[in-house]
Amino acid sequence: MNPLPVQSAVNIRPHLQVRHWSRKAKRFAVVLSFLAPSLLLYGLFMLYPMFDAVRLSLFDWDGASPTMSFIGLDNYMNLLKDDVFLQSLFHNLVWVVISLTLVVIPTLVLAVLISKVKKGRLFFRAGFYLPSVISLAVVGVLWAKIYDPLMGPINVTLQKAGLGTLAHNWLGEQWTVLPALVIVGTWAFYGSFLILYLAGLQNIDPSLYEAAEIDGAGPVCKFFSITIPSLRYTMNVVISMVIIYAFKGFALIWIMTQGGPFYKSEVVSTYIYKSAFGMNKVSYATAGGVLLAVIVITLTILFNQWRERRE
Amino acid sequence: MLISNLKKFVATASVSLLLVAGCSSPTGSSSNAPAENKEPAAAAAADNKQLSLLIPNFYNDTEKHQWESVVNKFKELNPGVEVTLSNGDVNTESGKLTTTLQSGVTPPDAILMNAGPGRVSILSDVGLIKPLDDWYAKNSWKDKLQPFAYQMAAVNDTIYELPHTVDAIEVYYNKDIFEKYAIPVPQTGDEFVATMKKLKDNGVTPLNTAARTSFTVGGLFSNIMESVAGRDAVEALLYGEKQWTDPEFVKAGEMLADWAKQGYIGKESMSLNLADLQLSFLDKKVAMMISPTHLISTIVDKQEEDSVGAFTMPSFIGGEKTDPTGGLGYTWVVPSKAAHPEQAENWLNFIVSEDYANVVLSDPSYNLIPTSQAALNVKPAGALLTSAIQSIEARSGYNPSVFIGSEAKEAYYQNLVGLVGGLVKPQEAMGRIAEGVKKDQEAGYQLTR
Repeated sequence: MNPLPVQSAVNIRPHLQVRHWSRKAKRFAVVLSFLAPSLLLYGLFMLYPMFDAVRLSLFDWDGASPTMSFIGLDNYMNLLKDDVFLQSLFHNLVWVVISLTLVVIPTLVLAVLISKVKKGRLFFRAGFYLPSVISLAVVGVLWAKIYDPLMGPINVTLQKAGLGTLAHNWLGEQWTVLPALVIVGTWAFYGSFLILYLAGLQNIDPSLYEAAEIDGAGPVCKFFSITIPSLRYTMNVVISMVIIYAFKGFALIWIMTQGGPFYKSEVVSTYIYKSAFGMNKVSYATAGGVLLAVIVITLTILFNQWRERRE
Repeated sequence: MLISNLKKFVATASVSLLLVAGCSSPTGSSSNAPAENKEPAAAAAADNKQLSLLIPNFYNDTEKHQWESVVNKFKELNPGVEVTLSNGDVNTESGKLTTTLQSGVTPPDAILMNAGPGRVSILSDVGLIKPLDDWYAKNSWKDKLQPFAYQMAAVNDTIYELPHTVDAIEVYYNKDIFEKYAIPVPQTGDEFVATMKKLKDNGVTPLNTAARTSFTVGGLFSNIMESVAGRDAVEALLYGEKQWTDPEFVKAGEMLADWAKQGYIGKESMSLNLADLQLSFLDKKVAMMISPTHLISTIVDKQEEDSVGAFTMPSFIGGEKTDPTGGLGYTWVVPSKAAHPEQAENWLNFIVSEDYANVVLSDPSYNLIPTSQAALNVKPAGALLTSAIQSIEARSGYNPSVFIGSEAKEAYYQNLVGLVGGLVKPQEAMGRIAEGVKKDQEAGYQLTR
């Protein structure tokens, strides 16, 4: 007697399942073999140090001594009572705000203008990208000279133009030092953001502009109604990068002011560097680093959530 | 969903970390045991006649030539030894030296760093440099050093450094500017202020410092403290017998702030570094600057020996005499992981020898004051250095930044810059330095007599 069709299906199912899982396992092995080297390196050089940093931040350790004592969250509690750390964190937030103001829209406008250029577009692209390829050490030294209160071109020009009252000791005064540094940081990185915008602009369908023109839309209307909405993903990337760069910034500040004068340009990264290597408070500095990372990650997640909700 | 996953991840990660941290032995990280206990690769390289030295960056070619002469003399006395001289940042304040020694890369055999227990302790506290007590006993270095140099190195139970130079921080001035306005060298504190006022009234910036190279502001303030509070009071302060908030030190802070407010200290000081400061002084844009003798080589390099003079900042305490401030200038330390410690010992013996003193002091451009007894028998060729050596023959004052701990030093530099920039009140500034001292004391840093 031939088995019923249902019965035969039941009999062959285990066999099919084995083949199915075997195929899945093979595919997984292939994928893993491709991913393993980078995963291994990522784990070794990124994940392990990150988790080890959190572990270290729970100890009292000077960076070289053979002993370290477990102190739980004391480093974090002390950081929250440390005036200089809190001031540094505030400076980081100011840096974020000024950077966003100077980068997001102005760079987009610049990218749009360059994209409209008929001849010499390459020249403008290369020219504006140039600062991004200069070493930050060179940028720091260069701008320190530009900001020089006596011989710097800014003050010299202001004085020659009869605007001497506007001349400042840009890196030496409490209200000018931070904006002056942010301008340098922006100048050094805006080429990278410009390239992102230019790439985004190339992906906008030209027929949208043509349709808008037929409907009588002007350049400003097209910019706000077509360009900005079409570039929202690029803008999200730019904003995220600006926030991360603003919190990570170290080299320029270290070269130009080392956090001075009187902590007025101190940011978390310079403060934790001083704590770790100038004062041997390695675990304390590590806690500062962890706290900074948590803040950056939280801000980035919150920003992305807000963006997703809006969309 | 995203938030739920995130919460799970954060919770799992936190628990794992706390478990890992809690289970770790308090004496974990055995790989960080001080290398001095391991007797590093030195044994393997016992017959290797190599010596690598890390010294401060040269300010000019003159200093480079000085060091070439020194190394050549050493090689002449030690045939077959290959010396590698490299330059770098030797301040503990910038963190580079500590980072270099902690990096695991084979360190130099000896390092010439900015001196003083406050700086050396940053390295010795964590076992990055060798104790030198054995070498002191074996080579009789105590007898080969001038007594005050030895005393300054031996402020704690263990000695980690061999003093190379002592500082004499004084006022350097442009003679031609003083002559142009018929200003004599001031003899009292009041005359010094009058000098600055006269220069300012004539449109000349009297004094500059370099906030971006903070030890220059520290040097300036050390002179003011010596002049306002006196040497004994500063000594008592550094040994913990007085407080930074005591009236005489607050008065010194008020004076620094007032000089800046009156325009006696150029406003541009807030954004100058050491190189800018030296250039502004030697280009006659400013009448005076406060400096150790390091400046001499730049003066010689710029051929300004005849137009620059030096004097000790006079006292504001009636009838008292002041001394140039200082303490140790540069000092030699030997990294725990040095590959050729026997050659380092050989080199340090050379540094305290008459051969070394002869080489450096016969050079008119030489700019440092040696610490060896042997150097006392050699007459320096340069006039400015001769004058500086004579000025501290009897004794020198104190430069606090050499003696205070790391927390206090950070507060010291930042608050002095704050005073120059009008960003902090003197009483508050001294209070913050006192807080730094307290933190250092809690961490076990204290000078003992």
